[in-house]
Amino acid sequence: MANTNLPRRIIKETQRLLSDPAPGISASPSEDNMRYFNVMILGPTQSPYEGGVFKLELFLPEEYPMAAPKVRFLTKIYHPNIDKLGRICLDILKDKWSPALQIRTVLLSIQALLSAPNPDDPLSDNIAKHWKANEAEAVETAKEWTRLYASGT
Amino acid sequence: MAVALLISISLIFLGVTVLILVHICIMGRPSSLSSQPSERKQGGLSPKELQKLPCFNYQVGEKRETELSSDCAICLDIFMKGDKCRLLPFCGHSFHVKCVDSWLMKVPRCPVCRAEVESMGLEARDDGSGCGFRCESSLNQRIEVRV
Ligand SMILES: [Zn+2]
Ligand SMILES: [Zn+2]
Repeated sequence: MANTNLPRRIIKETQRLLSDPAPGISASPSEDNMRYFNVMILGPTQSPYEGGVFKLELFLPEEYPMAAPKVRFLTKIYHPNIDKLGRICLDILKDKWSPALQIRTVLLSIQALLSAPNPDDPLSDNIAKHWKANEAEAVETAKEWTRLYASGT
Repeated sequence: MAVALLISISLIFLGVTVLILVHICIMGRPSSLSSQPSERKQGGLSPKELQKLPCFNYQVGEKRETELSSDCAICLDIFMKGDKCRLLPFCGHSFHVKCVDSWLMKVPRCPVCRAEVESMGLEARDDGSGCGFRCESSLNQRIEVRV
């Protein structure tokens, strides 16, 4: 395998993710690169993303855990803190990263972000404006996008 | 004559503009820094500052308080007897020296609770080796630290 010098911490995290996954979240490493994870997050209940299955990619940089993982949505999603390219505006992925956080805690935070969109700290200006101007309508759009792009199959 | 006058006036005007811009640049910087006092500390700790932080060799079976967990939050390994550990003085969280030092050199905050880590007010260790094998017994040191 091409991952002979994979740090023990990454191996441990991977084992725990596989043996004891968090509810609504799955993450499995790619076969040819153990630092690259295929992630699926189920849209939380009571959120506009309920019923959706969202694919993400997660990559552990060389400096991990001294640097945050890189995470991106692959499934299109209508959310004020996620942009067209799937990039996520989340403080723990930027300046609030700490090496005591793990892949699991990062994914749980992203799942929580789906339940609590924050249009005051937007990554996607248009969506945030829409959210602030007419939340009910924005939520409807988010539900529609969930049906269109995240319906699972 | 009129052309020369025009040129010199515009040169003076240009000079004044440059001066004003320089002034704004210099004066603008400190005020933008002071507007976010919590982010004041940008860099991490130096090796010298790290040496001032308390350290101990992990002992199995030693009476330990609850704040000392049994594994290191950075490498996720269980602490083993003799492991060189560092105790952060203000919050009491501990980690392997090798694990936490590389983080504190980047960001001077506790990885678990984000408490700011400062070496100010702590006495420099005189063994010169930083947190070497010659660390004093952990118990004495911890009492000192907790006062
Ligand atoms: Zn450690
Ligand atoms: Zn702490």
